[in-house]
Amino acid sequence: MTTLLTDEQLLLRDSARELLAARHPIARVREWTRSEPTRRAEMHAALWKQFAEMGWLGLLLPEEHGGMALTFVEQTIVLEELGRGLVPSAYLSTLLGTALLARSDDAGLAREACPRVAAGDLVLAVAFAEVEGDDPTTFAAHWSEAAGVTGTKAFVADVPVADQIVVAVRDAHDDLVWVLVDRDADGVTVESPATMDETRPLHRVTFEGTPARLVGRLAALWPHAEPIHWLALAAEAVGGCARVLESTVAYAKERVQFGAPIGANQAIKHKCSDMLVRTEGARAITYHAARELERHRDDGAFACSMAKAYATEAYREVAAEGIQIHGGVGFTWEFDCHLFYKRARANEITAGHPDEHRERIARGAGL
Amino acid sequence: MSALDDWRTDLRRWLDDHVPAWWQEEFAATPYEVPERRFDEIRAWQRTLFDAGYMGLTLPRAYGGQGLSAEHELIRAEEMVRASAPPIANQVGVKQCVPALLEYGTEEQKRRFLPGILSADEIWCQGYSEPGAGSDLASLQTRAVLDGDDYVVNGTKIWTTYGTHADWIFALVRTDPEARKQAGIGFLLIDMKSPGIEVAPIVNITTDVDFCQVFFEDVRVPAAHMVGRPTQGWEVANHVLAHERGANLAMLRFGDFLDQIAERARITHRAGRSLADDPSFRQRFAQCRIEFEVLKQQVLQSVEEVRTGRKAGPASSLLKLQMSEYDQRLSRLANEAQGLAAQHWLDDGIDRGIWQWRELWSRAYTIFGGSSEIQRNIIAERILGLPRTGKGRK
Repeated sequence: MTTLLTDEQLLLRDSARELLAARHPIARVREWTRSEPTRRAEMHAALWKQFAEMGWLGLLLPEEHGGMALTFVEQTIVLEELGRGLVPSAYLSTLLGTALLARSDDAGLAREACPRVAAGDLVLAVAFAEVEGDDPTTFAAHWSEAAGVTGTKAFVADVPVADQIVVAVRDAHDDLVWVLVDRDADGVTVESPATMDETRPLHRVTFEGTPARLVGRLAALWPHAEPIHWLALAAEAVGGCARVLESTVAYAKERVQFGAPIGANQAIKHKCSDMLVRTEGARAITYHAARELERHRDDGAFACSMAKAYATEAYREVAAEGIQIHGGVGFTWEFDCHLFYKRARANEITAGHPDEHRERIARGAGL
Repeated sequence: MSALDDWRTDLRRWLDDHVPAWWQEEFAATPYEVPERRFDEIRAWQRTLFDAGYMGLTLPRAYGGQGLSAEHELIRAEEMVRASAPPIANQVGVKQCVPALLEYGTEEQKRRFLPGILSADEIWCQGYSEPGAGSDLASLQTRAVLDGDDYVVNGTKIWTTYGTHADWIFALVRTDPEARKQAGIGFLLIDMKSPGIEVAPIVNITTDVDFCQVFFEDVRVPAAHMVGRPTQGWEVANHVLAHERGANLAMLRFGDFLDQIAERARITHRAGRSLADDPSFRQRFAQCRIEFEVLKQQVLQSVEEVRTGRKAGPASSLLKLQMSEYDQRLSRLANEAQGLAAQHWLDDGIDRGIWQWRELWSRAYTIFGGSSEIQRNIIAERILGLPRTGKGRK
């Protein structure tokens, strides 16, 4: 077992970082957030084409589905870089949706969907939570073969650019299942309430008798897909932490007060050191989770849960310290600090608050 | 099976036969500290290891070592953890004096001192801190003045771990009072039996006499016992510190400790339920479990870095900082799991009070070897490149 990245993996990281810095810097992220929906969709389509060309859309998929057959480590590297750049894209949603479809009882679904995902021809959204929250026992949206899907799902990312949505609903026996609907199908209404994190808008999707295809039981599919969601959010957090730390340290070196750079003060140094400790810790546990998920595809959940709890909490702390060390300008719209803080807060509470994960860890550790 | 696997199997079998029963019984929860009251037994344990060929694995045979590879060293560390074996008595000598001698010592010094360090025939202590030079170590005042073939040493050293047991001390001494403060320091090996040395024990918060103050009055030391140039001591000490702060595989045992804490929490009751069912305790327990994994992954990574030939550098400060603070949280959690019984001390406590002892001991981890505050400065300055603080202050 090696805990260090291989030369090929470092190359992937560097090329991803270069591509995103050149083609999709923060200035472009901001432009995207200010743009009209049609312009956003155009920008996303251009980005998606690049992702497909780089092979990023099929990193985990087998070669017969047009994928690269790589591991969760490579997947984590790409997600880290996307998180570093706060790149608004349906990458995470599509990864999660593909993980669900790939395990469907309906073998035809995976055969149809995976090659299209890898080629960049299929963008997915995943509708899990409802207005009340993400506890599945409270879910009300329902589906039957005859009547289609009816109900409202909430906090759904990437709906405007998705071709299809994987939706968690109750079936006629009141069991929770995943179904697949076309974004443009009849009876789909999308509302877009404002979100604090503008780089990842969340939508409310209402279905009224919308035709849908059964993917499989939630209890069977979600334990395989949910850890990927945790890992992905942790990976984004690692990238965000690293980026905030770099810009904050650079600022502490150049900002002069009392005749010296503020970074010469121990109060600032110690904060920066703690930010590095948190960042490196988040990185260590996240890549460990990636390796665990790779080794035990069905049983890496424990490590992913730890990574989600640690890394997203670290991200929030690091992003908050980033604002603090930047001082007044850290509070302005112009500086980027707030963008990272907002994403950090979203990642922290999405897919299980760290408290929920700690409860899971306590149970898993025999308490 | 490879030769390495065979070697591991032999070692594992050997440890099963030789790890002392009294240690397993009393101290299995102390992965690093040598309880001072058991020093002589621990010294005998190191001698047993040495005689069996399990000390100084990577050192040349001419110096009492085994001429084996870094892989062997890693296997040894793993197996010692697996067997819950006691630490060695001469930790200061092995972890600090050995790297100093290997890098800066003369051939004669290496042949003279290395075998005795490995066998524990000669116990070593470290003479760095002084009453007036703690975190600001470079302001140390102990003088070494050349007089013929000897240095004459005057001054005092403090926080000298194993000072009462030590046969030798490696001390930082001021050889050139005119030079800039880091530039006038030498790294000198001094026989603790020399006339003019007095050792005053200091009782610490665990009631152990673990460290001492050592007084030097006109102590004559052969000039041949200077390691490196007489003004190279600061460099030697920094080289040693980077080694000392590196990965300690003994932390892998923390996983077992967490299991023991969970077990204890099921027994302890408060507010009408088992502590194991208390949501806030569960949160803190889980956080410790997560942080264990976070640290473990970084330790394994640093082992990997050492194996692939990358030198220990300022990154070791990251581990030292996290490990020391984690140890405090873990032992506090272990005692919390005992409920009111956490107030008992040593033999009257649960598991012979080992966790109470460790909780108190762990307060030292964030102070010695460069306090947490100093580690944060090092991380900020040497890893993140922030401006130096306190330079030029007299």
